[in-house]
Amino acid sequence: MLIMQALSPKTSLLEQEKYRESILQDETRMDRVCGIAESL
Amino acid sequence: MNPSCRIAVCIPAYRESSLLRNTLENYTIHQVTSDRKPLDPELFEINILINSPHRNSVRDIVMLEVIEEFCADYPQYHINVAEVVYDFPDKAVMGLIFKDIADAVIHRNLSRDVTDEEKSRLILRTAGADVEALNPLLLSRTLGIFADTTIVAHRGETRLPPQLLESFPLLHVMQTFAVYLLRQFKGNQTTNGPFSYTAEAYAAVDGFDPNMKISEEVDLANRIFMYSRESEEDLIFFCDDVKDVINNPRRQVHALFGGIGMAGRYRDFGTLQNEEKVHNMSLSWRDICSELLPDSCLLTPENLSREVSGYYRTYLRIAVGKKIPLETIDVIFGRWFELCRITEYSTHRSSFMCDNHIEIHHID
Repeated sequence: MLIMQALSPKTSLLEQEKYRESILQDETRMDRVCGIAESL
Repeated sequence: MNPSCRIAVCIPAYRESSLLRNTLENYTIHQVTSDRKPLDPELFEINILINSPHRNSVRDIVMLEVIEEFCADYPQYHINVAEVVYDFPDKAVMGLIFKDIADAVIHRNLSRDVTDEEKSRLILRTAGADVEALNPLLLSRTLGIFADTTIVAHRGETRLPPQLLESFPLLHVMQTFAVYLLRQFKGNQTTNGPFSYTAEAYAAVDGFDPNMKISEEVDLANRIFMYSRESEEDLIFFCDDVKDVINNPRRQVHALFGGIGMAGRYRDFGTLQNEEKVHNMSLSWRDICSELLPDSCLLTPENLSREVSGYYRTYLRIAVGKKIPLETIDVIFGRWFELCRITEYSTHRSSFMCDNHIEIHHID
């Protein structure tokens, strides 16, 4: 139960971390996104 | 990203110098709490992505000056700016532009020094730079709504300026019709206009579709809605009818004045010639008054038939593509006529798509 709660999409970061991983694996996308993130 | 930031507003902007100042004011100095005090600037940030669709596009210095001037006038707000030059072979691809700025915000969110729970509950709001007016309670209301951790997205109502609709009845009727059709075919969550969503829900559906030239927000809203519905966590895409946004009506006005028709207003979206004409309407729509409307823009059976027929062909095409019985389209259109008390009309179907039309004989 506690484990389920920890993984709940309401409070977990799993999806964002997975998503960022997919950005970082694509070199072109990573360059652009990181470039924008640094400027912001 | 500042540690207290709860809402990241993301605004892509291209040649919006005439409207951007008003948009920024609406998202900052006009935002208040329920007891009418200014909303704490630490609770949100505005991210502007100045984008040029082609390598040879001229850098918009005026827009940069507008932002600089605003930041000098109101240094308490977090206004962040990035510039990107794309190299689209043809029209701008809005899905990619929105995805880039939202993805950059996710990247920054994960790098900031706050608890995982706070990172998971960051709210994103992707919007246009052509806001006419915002509900002054929009951001504080958004914070209140998302305090319920089962809510992953929220959409209020987006409207056109009431003073324009009063003097332009054909636009009023067609705008209502366009929203009715979206609601009937796709559901409340996809009616046009910006909406807010958690960073976690955005990531869960893989963000914006980078291949969508237009309707990228409708598509994202649909996928977040499906995600909430299929989750085992009872997640909610919350929709209400509170008026949150009044948008600049330039695209609709251009479509009706230019004879393109409301249904075709995004057909040439992103082409230089079309955008030039749309931008010229950014402020001039304010001069419209009922006495000066051209004949083609009056609320007559002929003009209404022309406009409704444009949507009829669009939705017949969708029905063919999605293998929906064509009678469904007739039923949905018929229901709207009933709601408007239009009883004298006839539907003409043809095997040639361009010949399909609806003729309205009389408006009461």
